[in-house]
Order: sequence, then C-alpha cells, then structure tokens
Amino acid sequence: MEPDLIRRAQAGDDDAYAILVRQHEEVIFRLAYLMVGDADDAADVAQEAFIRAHRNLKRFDAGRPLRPWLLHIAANLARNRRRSLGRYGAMLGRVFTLAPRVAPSAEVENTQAQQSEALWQAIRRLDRRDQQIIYLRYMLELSVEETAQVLDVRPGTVKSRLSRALDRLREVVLAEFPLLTEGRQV
Amino acid sequence: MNDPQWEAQVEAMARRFEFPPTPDIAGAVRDRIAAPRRTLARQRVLRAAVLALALAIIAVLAVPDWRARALDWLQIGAVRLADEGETPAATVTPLESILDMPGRTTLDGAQAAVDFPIRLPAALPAPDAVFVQHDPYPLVILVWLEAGAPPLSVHQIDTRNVVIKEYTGAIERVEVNRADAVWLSGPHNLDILPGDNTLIRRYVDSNVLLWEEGAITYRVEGDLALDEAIRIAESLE
Repeated sequence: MEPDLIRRAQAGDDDAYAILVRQHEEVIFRLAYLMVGDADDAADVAQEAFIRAHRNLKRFDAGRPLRPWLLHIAANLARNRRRSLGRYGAMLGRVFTLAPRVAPSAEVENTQAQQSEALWQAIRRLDRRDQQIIYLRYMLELSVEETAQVLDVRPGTVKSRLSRALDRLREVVLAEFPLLTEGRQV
Repeated sequence: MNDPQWEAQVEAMARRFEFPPTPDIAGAVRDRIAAPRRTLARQRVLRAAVLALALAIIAVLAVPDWRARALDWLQIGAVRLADEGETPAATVTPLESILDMPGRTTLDGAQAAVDFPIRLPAALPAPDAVFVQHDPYPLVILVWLEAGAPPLSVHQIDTRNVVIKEYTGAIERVEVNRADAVWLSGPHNLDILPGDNTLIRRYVDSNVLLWEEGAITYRVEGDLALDEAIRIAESLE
C-alpha cells in the first residue's frame, strides 16, 4: 500500500522509493512531455521531480496520495524548464511552441492519432494555465478532484477554469485548425 | 456544437493521444539517490589521496615541473578549486546575489574597458546586466535573469588573474570544444578576490562549467544541465 511505501521511503528505504517511482513514472513523464514537448527533456524533468520529491519526502504526509504532489512538482519544473529553454531555445536548437501557423492538411488529419496530435498543437496555443488544466483533466484523465489537488485550488475552480479553457481552445481550433472539426459543427 | 459536445470531442481526441514510451526513470532516480552516498565515500578516499600527494609534493617542490603539475590539477585558468574547509585570510563581503556585484556597466562600456573581445552566446538576447572589474586584469560578467530560477551568467576572465575560488565538492572532468573543461555540480561558495585583502563571497545555488580558451578563462553558471551548459559554452561567438 502506498502509505506504507511512503513511510518506508521516509525512513531511508530506497527500494520502497523505487517502487513508488515505478508506480508514478508514466504519468509524471507524460505531463512533462506535454509541457516541454520533447521526450528527452521530459525524462530529465520527471527524473528531477522524483529527486526533489525524495529530498522533501520527510515533510510529506504519508496519509495523503502521492500522485497530485508529484504532478505539482513536475508541473513547476516543466514550466521553469520550458521558460528557460524557450528563452534559450534558438541557441540550444530547440523549439517549444511548435504549432505550425498553417493548419494541417486533410491528408494529415485523416487518422485519429493525427487528430489528437493536432489537438495538442492547438492546446499549445493557449496560455500556460489553460494548457495545464486541459492536460491534467483530459490528456492524463485525472478526476476533477485530483486536478484540484495538483493545482491547489477547489474543485469548483477547476470546473470554471476548464470551461473557459475549452472556450478558448474552440476559438483556436476554429481559427487555426479548422480541419480538426471538419464534418462537425463546433 | 454546444459545450458538452465540444468537451466530449476534446476528451475523445485527448484520450487517443499517443505518448512516447516512458523511459526507465525509476532506475535513473535510484542511481542518483545512491550517488551522493558513493560520492561522499569517494571524497573521503580522494582527500586522503590528495593529502598523501601533497606530502609527496612537498618533498619535491623544488622541481618546477612537478609544482606546475600540482597547481594545474587544482586550477583552471583564473579559477582555483579550493576545499570548503579553507579559511579565508581576508575580509569577507557576502553578496546576496550576483546582481550585487560592484562594477555594473553596459555591454558597450564593458567592451571599451577590456582588451579582449567579449563573446556572447549565439541567439541569446543582450544580457540583462554586465559587470567589469579590474585587478589588474579584467573580469567581465554577463548576466541573464530568469524569473523563479537562479540567474544565468557567463564570466570571461583574463587568465593572468587568479581571482576566483570555487569551494566545491563535486567535480567532473568534461569537454568544451574538445578541450578540457570542468563541471562543478551543486551549491557551493564562490570567492572573488579583488586583490586588496578583501574578498567577495557569494553562494552559488546552481552548477558551473569552467574552461580556458587562449588567454581567457570562461565560466558559465546557471540552473542548467551539463549538456545545456556545454551548448551555451560552445555557442560563444
């Protein structure tokens, strides 16, 4: 059980912490990937998130679920990383706001996976807060309650922010990714 | 499409998003957690070895080649690596931030004040702050600010000076432009020695890359991974 593993890890049991990392590495890596846009950078961010969590583990309440706390740490690290690399991105040969100005072609749009990829590009047009809440709620499929824990807000705030983020996403899709909605009325 | 339909459409597309495979993060984390313990043990062994080496060198210090080699091992251009336990023999002026350094100027002012070309990392904007000091040879510090992160700085130091001491524990030998360089990871104290029996001490809460090219010692300091620091170093022009 997670609380037992946390208590063992707090007592210095590296094996217990390794199990916790294994249990959560996928969701942490995925959030980092969505936020920084590069698998290698996402792996670095995820690794750093677990290292920082380990350093602060003794202050963590073992009775609470670990995942929202880890996601919160990872989101902060990914945000800093993206900001830093966004600034130095040209020099470092990386581009983080990748969404093309032109809409994807009909050919590109014709598979579901490519639609999802285009959706991601549209989400990346939004501001950071809108992006993050959509990633947590829809792409990582967290509940409203867990999303609220990650963002340290009330569930009602999550719902209102999500509603606004979806409105803005629809505007971006209509303006820049119309083929995403081809055959549908948005 | 009304809001629930749009939300359902987003949900459906998001669910089908294909993520790259998750790498072995648990293994890497485990190695990193164990590394400081190994490093501490290695440092104890290393300190004992350095002491033995120092004793041996004392016996042969009159031999110039041997003395030079010993100093080379501890020094990269104008920067000397020192043990945290050393007691400064000068009046210490602690600095909260690199922005509190004396000698603030502009990039043009700095270039006019030094006799070597100041190199800038390609594609970076102009630095947010520039400092120049002379004692007697120049030291230029370029600073870029980043909200929520330690500043990124590039020091360019006339190697005829020996003006900086890094009190560091973790030292790794790396390469910049295929030449020897040193990577200092983790927080440590830094002393800048203006030469008037005072020193400016600053706590470095990030990592440092040091190397020497021609008559200049370069020092990149920032919250960067090693590969990023090397890319910045190799982009100087």
